[in-house]
Amino acid sequence: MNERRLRRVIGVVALIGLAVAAYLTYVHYAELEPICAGGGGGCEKVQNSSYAELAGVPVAVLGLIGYALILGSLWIPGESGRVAGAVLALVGFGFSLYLTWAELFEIDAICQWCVASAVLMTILAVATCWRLVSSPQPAVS
Amino acid sequence: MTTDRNRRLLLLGGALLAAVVVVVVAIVVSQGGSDDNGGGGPTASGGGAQQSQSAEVKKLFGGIPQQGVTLGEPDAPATLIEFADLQCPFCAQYTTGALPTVIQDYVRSGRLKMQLRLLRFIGPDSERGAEVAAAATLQNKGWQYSDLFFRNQGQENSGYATDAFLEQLARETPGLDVNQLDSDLNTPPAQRLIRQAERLGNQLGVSGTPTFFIQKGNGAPQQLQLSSLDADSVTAAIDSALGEQ
Repeated sequence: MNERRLRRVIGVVALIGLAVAAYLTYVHYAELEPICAGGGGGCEKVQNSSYAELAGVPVAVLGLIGYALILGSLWIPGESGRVAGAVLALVGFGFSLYLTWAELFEIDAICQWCVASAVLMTILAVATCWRLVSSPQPAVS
Repeated sequence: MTTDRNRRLLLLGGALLAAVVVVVVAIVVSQGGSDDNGGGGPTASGGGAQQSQSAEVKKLFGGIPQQGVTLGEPDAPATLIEFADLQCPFCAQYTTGALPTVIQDYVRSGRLKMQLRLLRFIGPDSERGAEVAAAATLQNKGWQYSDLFFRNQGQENSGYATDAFLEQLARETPGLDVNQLDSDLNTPPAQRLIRQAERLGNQLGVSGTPTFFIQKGNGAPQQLQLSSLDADSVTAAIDSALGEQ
C-alpha cells in the first residue's frame, strides 16, 4: 500500500474513531446510557465502572484526544509526523488491550462501543506502523 | 537502502517502546486511582481520594431519576424501602457492598425503585447527618449525600459529624448546591422528611437498621428477610420477594 492510500485509511479510521469517542464523551457528561445493541446493560456497566476514568479523566475524552492527535499527525510533514502517528496509535492500541482485558475479566461486561474503538485502534496501529516502515526515502542531495 | 530500512525499523522499535512505557504508566495511574476507594474511615478532608469517591458516587447514581427520597423510574412495579441510620456500620456495609449491584441489576433496569428513609437511632451524629441529608433530599441529592456519609462514617457517637465534616461531604456531593443546602437546613420541608421517615418506621415496626421492605405496586410493604448483607444474599431476597407476585 502506498503512502497516499495509507494516509487515507488512517484519516478515515481516525475520523470514525473520533465520532465514536465524541458520542461516548457526550453520553458521559450528559449522564445518559449509551445505546447498546442487543441490550444486556453491558455498555452501562462498563460506563459506570471504575475503568471509565483514568485519574479523573473519562476514558472517552482520552480517546477523543487520541484520535484527534492521530488525525493531526497526518499533517505533520516528514518522518516526525509518521513517528508521532505510530506512537499515538500504539499507545491507543495498548490501552485498548488493557481496557478489553478489564471488560472481560474485571467488569464482566462488554461494551460494543469500546470493542469498536479497540478494533479501530488496532487498524490504526497497523496502518501507522506500516506507514512508518514503508515511508518514502527522504530526499538526500 | 538497507541502512535506511534498518533505521526505520529502529524508529518503529522506539515507537513501540515509548508506547509500552506510556501505557504501563497509564495503567499504574489507573489502578492507583481505584485503590483509593478501598480506604474508608472518616476522611472527609478533601484531596484525591475524596474526589475519587465523589466520582464513584456520580457514576453510581448517574442518569437515574431521583425525586425526593425515591431513586429510580417512578413507574417501576415495586419499591425497595430502606430504613437506615447514617451512623449504623451495617448500613454502611450494605451501601458500599451490595447497593451498587442492586442499583445496577434492579433500579437501572426499571424493575425496582428505592426509597431511603433515614432514622436517628444512634445519637447526635445521626441527627446532624440526617438533617443535612434531608436538606440534600430537597435537591434530589439525598442518596448521593448519604452514600458519601456512609463511605466516610466514623466511630459511633464520637462527635465526628462536625459542621466541617458535613459541609465537606456536601461539597463533594455531585450536583448539590451547597448554598441552597444551607438555606434548606432544618426548614419545615426538611423536618417533614425526617418526621415522615420516623412515622413510617413506627408504622412498619422498624426496630433496627438497616431494615428493608418490598412494596409491590401500592400493596402493603413486606419486610425483606436477609441472611446477610452481601450482594448475593440481598439480590436473592429481592428475587424471592418479587417472585411472589
